[in-house]
Amino acid sequence: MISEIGFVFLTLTLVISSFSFAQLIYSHINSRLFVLNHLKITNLIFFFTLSSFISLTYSFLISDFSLNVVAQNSNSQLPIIYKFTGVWGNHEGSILLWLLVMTFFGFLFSKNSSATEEFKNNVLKIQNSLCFLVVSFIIFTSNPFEKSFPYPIEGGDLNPLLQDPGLAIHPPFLYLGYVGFSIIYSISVAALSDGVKNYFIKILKPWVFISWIFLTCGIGLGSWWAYYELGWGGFWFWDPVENASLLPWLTASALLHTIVVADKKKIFINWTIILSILTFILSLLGTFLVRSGVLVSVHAFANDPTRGVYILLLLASISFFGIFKYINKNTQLGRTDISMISREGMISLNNIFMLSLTFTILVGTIYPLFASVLFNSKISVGAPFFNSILMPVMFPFIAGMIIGPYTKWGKDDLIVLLNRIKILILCFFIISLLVWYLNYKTPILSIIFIALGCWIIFSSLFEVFQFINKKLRVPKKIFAQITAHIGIGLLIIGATGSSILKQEKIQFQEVGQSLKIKNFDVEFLGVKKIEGPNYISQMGVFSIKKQGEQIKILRPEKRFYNAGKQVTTEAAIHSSIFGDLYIAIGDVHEDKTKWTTRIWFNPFTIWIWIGVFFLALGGSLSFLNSLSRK
Amino acid sequence: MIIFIFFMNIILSEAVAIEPNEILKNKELEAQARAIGKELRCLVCQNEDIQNSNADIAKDLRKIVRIKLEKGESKKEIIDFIHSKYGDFVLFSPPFRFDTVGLWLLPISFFILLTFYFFRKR
Amino acid sequence: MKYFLFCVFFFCIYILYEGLQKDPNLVPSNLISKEIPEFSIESLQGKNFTNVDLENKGVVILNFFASWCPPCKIEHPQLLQLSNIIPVFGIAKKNKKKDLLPWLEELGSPYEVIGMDHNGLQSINWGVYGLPETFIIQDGLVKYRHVGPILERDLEIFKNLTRKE
Repeated sequence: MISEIGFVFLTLTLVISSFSFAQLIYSHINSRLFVLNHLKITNLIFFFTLSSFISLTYSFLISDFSLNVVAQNSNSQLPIIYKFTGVWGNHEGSILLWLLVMTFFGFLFSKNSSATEEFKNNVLKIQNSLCFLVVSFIIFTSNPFEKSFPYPIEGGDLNPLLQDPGLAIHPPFLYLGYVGFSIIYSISVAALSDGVKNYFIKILKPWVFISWIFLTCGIGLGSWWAYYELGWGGFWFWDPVENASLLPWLTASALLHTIVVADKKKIFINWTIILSILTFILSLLGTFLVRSGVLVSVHAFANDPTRGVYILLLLASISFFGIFKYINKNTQLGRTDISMISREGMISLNNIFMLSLTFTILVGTIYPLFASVLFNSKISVGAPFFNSILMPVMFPFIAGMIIGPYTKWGKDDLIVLLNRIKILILCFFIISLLVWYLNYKTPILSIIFIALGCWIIFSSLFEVFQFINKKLRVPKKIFAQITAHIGIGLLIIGATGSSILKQEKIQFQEVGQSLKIKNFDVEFLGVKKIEGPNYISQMGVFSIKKQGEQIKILRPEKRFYNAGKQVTTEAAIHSSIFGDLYIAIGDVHEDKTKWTTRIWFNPFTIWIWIGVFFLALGGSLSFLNSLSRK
Repeated sequence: MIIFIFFMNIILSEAVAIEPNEILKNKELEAQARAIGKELRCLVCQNEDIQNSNADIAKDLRKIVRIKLEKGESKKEIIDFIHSKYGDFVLFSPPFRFDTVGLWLLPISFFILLTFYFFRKR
Repeated sequence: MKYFLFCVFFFCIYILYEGLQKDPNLVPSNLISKEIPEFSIESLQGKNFTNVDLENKGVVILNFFASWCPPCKIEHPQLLQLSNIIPVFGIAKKNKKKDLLPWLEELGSPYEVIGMDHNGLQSINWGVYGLPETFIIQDGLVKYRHVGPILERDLEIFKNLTRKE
C-alpha cells in the first residue's frame, strides 16, 4: 500500500515538473504569454519527492520484498541501520536520492536566496526542468517501486561491503555535493538569459561553497572507507568512478577561487559562468560513466545499456543547453588584459592548471572507451599513468598556492614579488633541510613532497603572522584560505607518508609469536569464532606492545556473510599522529598452527583525514562569510 | 546483455592478496616484483593490479613474474612477455603507438592552447 | 569557432553512444593469427603433450577446463558433439588426477589428449585468464578464441569456423 503511494507521488512529481519544462521549451519558441510561478512548483515537487523517498525507506525498513529493489538489496537479518542505508545502496534508490537532493536544493533556494522574485523564478524554471528530466528517467527506466509477483520470502542481501557505516553515509554526502551543483548550473544559465548582471555572483556564492564542502567530505569519506575496508591500506586507486567524482571537485575548486574574486573585483564573470556549467556537466558525465556500464569499475552499478542511452541523452541535452546559452549570450564580460604576474593572473593560471588537470584525468579515464570505438583497441589506463601526471603537476600548484597570496592586484613584478617573500624563501630552505635531516633514510620523492607540504603550511601561517605583526586583525577571508591551504599541506604529507613510507610485514605467524614493526611488538594471540547478526567471523586477536607494555588489543576479522556467501576482510587499525598500525588476518596454514598475517605501518595516514577536515572547515568559513555580507 | 561471466573466481574485494610463501627471499627482487605488479592489470577484476587481487589469474601472474625475476630476466623482458600473451589490456600504462599517442598529446595541447589563448595580447 | 566546439561536442556524444554498444569486460586474444606457443607438459595418460601434437593436423580444438569449474560442465555436451567432427584436445588447469578422472567418467571425455597444467603457467602461455576458454587452431596458427562456456548457440560459429576448406 505504502509503496503504491510512493509511486503515485513520483508520478505527481513528473506531472507537476513537466509544467516548468514545458515553459522552458516554449519560452524559446515564443515569448512568454503568461508566467508560471515556478517557486510553487518547486515546493510541490520537493514535497512529493520527499514523500516518495520516505515510502521507499519505509518499504526497506519493514522488509517489503514485493518490491524488486528491496528483494535484491535487503534481508530480514540485516541490522536496521543497513536496512535504512540500503535504500541508496542500489541504482534505483540512489537515483531517487539524486532527485530528492535536486528538489531539496531547489526548495532551499526558493526559501533562502536573496535574489529577486523574478530571478528566482527563472532559476527554478531551469532547476525544475532538470528534475523533470531525472524523474522521467526514474519512472521509465529505474522505477524503485517496481514489483514482482510472486514475491520472494527472503531478500538477497545488501552487498556486505556496503554494510558499513563509512560507506553508508558516503553517497548522501557525495550527492549533496554532486547534485548541489545543479543549482549553480541553474543560477548561471538563468543569469545568461537575463543578460548577465553582476549581482548573480552574490547569489551564486553560498551554493558553490556548500556543494563543494559536501563533495569534499563525500570524496574523503569514500577514500577513508576504502582505506580501512579494502584490507591493504590503499586510499585512492584512480578507478573511473573515483575520477568521476574528482572531476567536478577540481572545477568546483577552481570556481571557488574565481567566485570570491568575481564578487569583490567584478572580473572573471566569464570564468564563473563557464566553470559553473562545466562542473554540473562533469557531475552528469560522472553519473553516466558509473551507471551505463560503459567502463569497468569497482563501483559500477547494474550495467544496463538502455539506462545508459537515457543518461547519455540527459547528459547531452543538459550540456548542450548550457553551452548553447553561454555561446549565444557571450557579451564581453570582464577584463581582457590580465598579466601573468598579478593576483588576477595567478588565479587565472590556477584555473588553467585546474582545468588542464581535470581534462587530463578525463582523457585518461575515457581514453580506453574512445580507443575501442575509434581504433578497436583494447587498452587500460590506470594508476601508473595518473600518478605520473599528478606528481609533476603538484609542483606548479604548490608554487601557485604559496606565491599567489603575496601577489598584488593589477600588475606586479616578478623581482619585486620575490623580494617581498625573501624571508619566506629562506624559511623554506631551512624547512627542507630539517625534513631531509629527519628523513634522510627515506626515498627522495617522499622527502620532496613532505617538504612541500610543510612549505604550504608554513607559508599559510606566515601570512597570519604578518597580519599579527602589523597589529591588524586577520580578515575572515584569509582565515578561510589558510585553513583550506593548510588542509592541502596536511593531505600531501599524509598521502606521501601513507603510500611511499609504508612498512610491511607479511608472513605465517604462529600463535604466541611476536613480531616487531616500527617500535611496536605485535603478538598473535590466536583466532576465535564470533557470530554476528548476519555473518560468522574469524577474529584474530593481537596484543600490541610498546616497550614491553601492552597498549592495545587489535581484532581484525574475516567475515563470512550468511545470505550471499560473500567474504570480507575487516582490518584492525591503531592510529596515532605518527601513523597507523594496520593489521589484517588471512587464512590458516595447512598445518593449522600458523595463520597468514599482514601487518603494515602507514606513516602519517591520519593527516589525510585531518587535511580533508581542514579543507571542509576552510570551505565552511568561506560559506559563512558569503552569507553574512549584504 | 552481459556475456556469461565465466568462472573467474571474482571474490568481492577480499583483496589483500599476496601470500607469505609468494614473497621472494631476496628483498631487492621482491621490490622489483612489486613494481612490475603495479603495472599489470588483473584481467578479471574491476580495475585492480595483480598485487592486490585475490583472483586466480593475478596469483599466477605474480608467480610467473617472480619466477622470471629469479631467472634473471629484466623488467622490460617480463612485461613484454606478459604483454605478448595478453595484449594491451593487461598493461596499466599503454604502449606508445599512433592510437594511444592522444593520451599524452591531448592534455599537453589543451594546456598550451588554453594558456596562450588566455594570456594572448589583444 | 562556435561550430568547431559544437562539432567536437557531438563527436564526443557519438563516441559515448557507440561505447555503450561494446562490452568493456571482453578481452581479445593476443595470439590470433600467430603460431601456437611452444609447450611440453605431462598428460593425464602419462605421455608428453607438446605443441607438435596440435600441428599438421588441419583444424583442431584446444579447450582449457577443470573439474572444479561449473561452466565447464555446462559446455561439455557441446564439446562432445564437436569431438565427432574435429579432434578436441584439452588442458586441465590446476586439477588433481584423482578429481579429474571421476569427472570425465561421469560426463564422458571428448578429448584425445588432456594436458595437466598444475601450476597455471601453461594457461599463461596461451593468454588464458579464466575458465573455460577454447581455441580453434588451423595449420599451427591460432584462428579463434572463445571465452566462456560453449553454449548451444555458439555451436554454429564453431562449425563454420572449423569447416575443412
